[in-house]
Amino acid sequence: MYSKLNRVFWAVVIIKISINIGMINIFPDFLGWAIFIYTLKQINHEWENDNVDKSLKIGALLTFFYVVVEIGVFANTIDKTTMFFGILEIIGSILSVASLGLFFIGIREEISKISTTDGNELESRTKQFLITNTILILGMIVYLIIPNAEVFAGLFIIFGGLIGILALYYTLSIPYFIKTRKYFKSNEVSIA
Amino acid sequence: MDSKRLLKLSILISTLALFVFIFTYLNSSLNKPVLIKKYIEAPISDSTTSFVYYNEFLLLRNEMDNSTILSEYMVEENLKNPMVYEENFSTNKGFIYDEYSENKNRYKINYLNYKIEPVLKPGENLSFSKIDYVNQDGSSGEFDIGKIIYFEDINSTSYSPIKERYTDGGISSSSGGEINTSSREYFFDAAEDLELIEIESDLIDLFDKNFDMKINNVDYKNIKGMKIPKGGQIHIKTTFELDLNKEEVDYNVVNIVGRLVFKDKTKNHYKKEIPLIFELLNPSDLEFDYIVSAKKEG
Repeated sequence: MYSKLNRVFWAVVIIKISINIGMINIFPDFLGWAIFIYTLKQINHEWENDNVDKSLKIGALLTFFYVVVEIGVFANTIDKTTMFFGILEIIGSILSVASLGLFFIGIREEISKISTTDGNELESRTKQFLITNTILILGMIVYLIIPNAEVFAGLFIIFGGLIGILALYYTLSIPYFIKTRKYFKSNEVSIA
Repeated sequence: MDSKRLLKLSILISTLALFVFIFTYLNSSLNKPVLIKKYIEAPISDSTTSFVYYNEFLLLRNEMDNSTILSEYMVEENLKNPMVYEENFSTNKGFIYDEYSENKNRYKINYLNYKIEPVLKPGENLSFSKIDYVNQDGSSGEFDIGKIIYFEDINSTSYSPIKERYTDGGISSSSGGEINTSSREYFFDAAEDLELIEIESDLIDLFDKNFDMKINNVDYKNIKGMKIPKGGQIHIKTTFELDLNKEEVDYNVVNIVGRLVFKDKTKNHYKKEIPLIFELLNPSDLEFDYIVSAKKEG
């Protein structure tokens, strides 16, 4: 189980971190989502959790979505400077929050069966994850609405940057928290 | 509130915001100002002040309530002096345009900037077909304005061997139903023996299928070598016809100023302007939609 949860953690890292070398994104989102859903399928084979199952389905949709977007950007049919790309980014973000959120909720349900303390901790982090990411998405929308407001641009960068870091922290902290639990580390036996 | 509810709420808020945004964006994208194209030939003045004044109507549409904003602007450029347009023409041609303040702010254009084409050289005809604009919100773009072509003014020559009979000239135009026509007749008396050479115009070719000109009942394309005896008459009839059943247009004014080129016995060359203005519709009276896509179904 630990190796699977470790893989989920790295999948989320790939999803959240974008590093471009020239035109090519070496951490493409669809790769992260592909690893994510592949691993979740294995995990949920044991857990059979409804929320994880929903997360998996949205994740599958996102894999396809990001394959199309990445190819579009690479083939220059989608211009990254356009409003259209901005809207795609926001749709992707909303679906990502839905998928990751459902996964976090599902895993909290499973962990609560073992440790109430960890369950409460996860509950609280999931809330932080949802709140910061929602603010981030709303910020992205506001930024798109007034792209020419130079006066506010600085504020957006500072505020958006802070929220972005917080959102990233909470997104990564949950899968990291899960994979470092002792009951997953100590044995590879099913928790059910 | 547990995280499951919070998740639902988050997705709902984000999705609602996205819809509001898309709705706002689609509405604002409709607000791009629209300009009706005009095709115009006009003489460059030969006056010593060497300024050209040119009046033009700029029609912008408020797409939200479909009303029209009609305003007039003036281009005042030093077009005549080759030194001036060689040195300055490619730089400072913008002018502040703040006539819209009483109207919708989102249409306010900070400046318009004519683009010259082709690259201007002294002695060549000067033509414009594009305007750069910058809106108040910082967005910018380009208008296709049709074509404005300036040619060297030839009316100032003191002597002309033909005299116009103003009383006989007639202008008529009609815009009944879908067929719009504009026609004008000129009558000239020749004071000498003359030989016609050609009709000179940069716009005629563009509107070949709409434009017709007969000189003493001969098509203008076939007048080369036509002799006009002293005391003889030159009768010119120009017509512009547009059938909206057959043709879709995005312009409302065509002002063709053909120049009749002829020579006398001593091979002196002369030119006479033969203007014809065709106005499809009066923009201020009509729904804008009708002008941009004036075409009948089927």
